[in-house]
Amino acid sequence: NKAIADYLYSNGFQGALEHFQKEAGLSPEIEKKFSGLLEKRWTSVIRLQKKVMDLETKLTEAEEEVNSGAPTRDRRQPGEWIPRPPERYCLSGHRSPVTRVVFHPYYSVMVSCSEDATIRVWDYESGDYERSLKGHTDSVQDVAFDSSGKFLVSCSADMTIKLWDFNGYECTKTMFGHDHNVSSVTFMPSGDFVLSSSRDKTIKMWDVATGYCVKTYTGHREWVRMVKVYQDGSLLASCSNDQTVRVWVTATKECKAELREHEHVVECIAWAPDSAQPAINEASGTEAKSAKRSGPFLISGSRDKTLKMWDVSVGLCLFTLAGHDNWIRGVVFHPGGKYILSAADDKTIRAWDIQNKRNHKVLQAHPHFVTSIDMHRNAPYVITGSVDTTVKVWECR
Amino acid sequence: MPNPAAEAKPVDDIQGDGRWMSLHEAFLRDAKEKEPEVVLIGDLLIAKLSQSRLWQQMFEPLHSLNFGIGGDRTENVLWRVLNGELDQIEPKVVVLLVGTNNYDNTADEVTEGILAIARAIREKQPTANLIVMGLLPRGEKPNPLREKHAAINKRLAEELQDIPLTTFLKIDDKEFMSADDIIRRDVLYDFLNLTVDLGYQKLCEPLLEEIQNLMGTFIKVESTSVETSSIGGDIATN
Repeated sequence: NKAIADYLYSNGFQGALEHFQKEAGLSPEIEKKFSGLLEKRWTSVIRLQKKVMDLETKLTEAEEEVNSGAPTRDRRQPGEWIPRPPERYCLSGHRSPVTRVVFHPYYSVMVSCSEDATIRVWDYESGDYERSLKGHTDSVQDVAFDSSGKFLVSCSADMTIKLWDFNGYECTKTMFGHDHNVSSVTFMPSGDFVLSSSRDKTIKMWDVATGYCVKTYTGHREWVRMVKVYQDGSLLASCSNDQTVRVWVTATKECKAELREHEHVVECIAWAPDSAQPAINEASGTEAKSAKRSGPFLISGSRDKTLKMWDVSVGLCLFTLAGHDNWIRGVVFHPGGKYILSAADDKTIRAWDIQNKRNHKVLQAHPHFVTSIDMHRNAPYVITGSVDTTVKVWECR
Repeated sequence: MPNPAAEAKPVDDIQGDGRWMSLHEAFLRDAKEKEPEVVLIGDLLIAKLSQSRLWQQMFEPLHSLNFGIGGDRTENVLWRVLNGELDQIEPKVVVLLVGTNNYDNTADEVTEGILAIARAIREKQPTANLIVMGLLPRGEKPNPLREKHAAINKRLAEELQDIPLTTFLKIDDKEFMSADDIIRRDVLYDFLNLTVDLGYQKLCEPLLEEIQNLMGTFIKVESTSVETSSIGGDIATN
């Protein structure tokens, strides 16, 4: 009733409002907390109805696929192959939520890390578990390979970063320096340096040869959740609990851009590959040659349930993708450049058509929050990790 | 006159396995590591909720933490709040349900105890919305404890009315009783504790609605109705 009263009040139906308040026995004041509530609840019903209709359409499509056989790869170009259910493998073994999954750049191997403090290596073609890397004493938050695939770096809530020789699976260095949970780690393209971001609000660069911290980037006001290096190493992007995305000049530590539009913690970011430039330009309406954007472009995913595409050279948000129903936890570009794949706490992964700025497909991926997603750079596979402790391998077609 | 229900006190380890303190420490670890948007704290009525299907369906998608401990009295919950369980986290909503275990305190003493916890929560979380839940009825037939709970609820409703960011949420006693004021075992199986699913549904539907109102977002959660297992069913029949 109070929500109805607020609706009548904000739309100027003064007479109806007074009458309604009298009949419903409400006090004459309008409580602020009910502002806009009625509309919000109406649209949530409409969204649910739309969801039901979408599900019915999907069911019909799925039934057709089952009856006439799955669409063959010949009908679609590889650039359009997206993950499809059912999963190829559901791999168990971790004893706690999986925090990150990454593909090896060359071997048919992938790596997952978990709150159980271990890192697991799996063969994604056979579904076999290969081995565990142990050493961290608390949740492992992130793992990354260098471009050769010879080294793996991991970071943890135990505040350390570990370097692993991927041939012998040994930890060759442990790097100390952060004052709190380290939530993200990545190699510089050259492989000589590692970057990390932490709940201590800083980003640090480490010399792989000595294990020492050589640079600290400060500016974020809260936990820096993720750091990602641009393909040529000249720029870093980071995202934070302070709701911003920042871009830094790697060499000088200067903060080149502070991108502020998200309304909640920004959990993940990904730099756009060159292959995505045409679609991004189409999407931002710059067809005329003179107006063509060259980027670099960056996508961010947030707990405000949206993804935002940024043109870093001008510090502008080009467009927003909405559709997830809960916190977005991971995002990756399809190497073909036409799609973005995202994973969220609404238990789904979604494929987004960049050019048309819309949700292309929704996949019910796990029975609990999906924390991470990765796509292979040239093989048709996607992997996801979840709070349900499993890792799933999906084929793309 | 000192009120034992309002003087923070941990639970003594009478049985000898230190479980209460272990739980408190587990909650402290959660508060350090996790980022919940909803925290529920109280006695067994809160604790057992974490074991029901409803927790998974309704509360997990909202990123919730359950800090209920069976047997807790108001002074125990007060101690836990003052000793770190609400430090560091920044929830949007805190839910409190405690008091039924203070069977040997007067209605006023228990009310003061609950109000003391509400003040402590407010100090620890100045911007969070607090939902104080009314005590549920207990005992198969009308009895002095039912009257006491009714008196506590009446006073809480009055005292909490004008406090900002604070809501008093009372489930109508009739939800738990049949026409002649006899408590139904299908909702309170031992005339004190809620049954999983039906009993908790009666508690959680209004609670979830209030939480979503306060958070101003409408995250999709599955239907809690035991009859239909998806909201799609509800909409299709409209």
